Amino acid sequence: MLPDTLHQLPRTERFAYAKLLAVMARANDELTVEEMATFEQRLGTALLSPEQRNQIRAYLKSPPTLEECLTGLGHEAGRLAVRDSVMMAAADGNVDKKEKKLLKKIANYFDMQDDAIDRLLEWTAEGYAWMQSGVELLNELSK
Amino acid sequence: MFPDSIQLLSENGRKRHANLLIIIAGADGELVREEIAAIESAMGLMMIHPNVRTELRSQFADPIDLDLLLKEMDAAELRLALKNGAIVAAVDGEYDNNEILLLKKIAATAGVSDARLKQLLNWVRNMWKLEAKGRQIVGSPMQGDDSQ
Repeated sequence: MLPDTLHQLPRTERFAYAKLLAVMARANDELTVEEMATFEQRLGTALLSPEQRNQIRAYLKSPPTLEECLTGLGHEAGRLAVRDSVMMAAADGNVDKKEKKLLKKIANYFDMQDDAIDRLLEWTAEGYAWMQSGVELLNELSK
Repeated sequence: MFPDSIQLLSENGRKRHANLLIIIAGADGELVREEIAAIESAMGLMMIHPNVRTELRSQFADPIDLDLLLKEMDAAELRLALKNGAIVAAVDGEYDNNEILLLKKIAATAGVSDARLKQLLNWVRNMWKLEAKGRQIVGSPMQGDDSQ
């Protein structure tokens, strides 16, 4: 929810970012509730119009090819899509081999460092632990 | 922001949560793009139906009555909204006096002391650092990240 660079990108870039997220969401042919919630959260952060969101949701049913998504997608939007795809893939507590392979392929396309995905996975784990600490803080508040 | 447990709230609970976030975001007198993105992010995470989101967006300009809303929310809902409200209030960079007063009012209704609220605001500050780290990994820094 905190400010990010995503909503500062041009609308076409934000749409292309979300399109790539849709492809990632379908990477292992299984979309969990947690992944779906994270996907919807990112569409919200991207400030896409309701019509654009409907278009992106349609991609979940019939995803475009990866090549189609990458063509014309700028580096910043692409890298943010990699970051948020890691977060989305990890939302159900498991990033499988198929997802990780695809993430590395996309990261490579955007000239990211070789260890970028591993670092993002560590960062994501840190983030989920941080959120858990927020829940624990809430429980303390309840006492 | 990382996913949260807000999608586990009831349908009405999620609407109340979004309503309170809208009130908090507008407490300083204006809704900036970052605040709208934060609310849209929360509505997405709660997987609120698109038609309901449209209804909720109409409250950006005309929020519902705070006192009535607080009466409808139970303590658990209030504390969750207080946590996410503290995040939304921080998105434009600083806590405005009106935002602090509002958070204190919600905290008092939820039975949360000022000391605990302060703890919560510190927790939000750490979130900034974590988000900055994520941007640093992908090479997409924003103004202020260096100071985190």
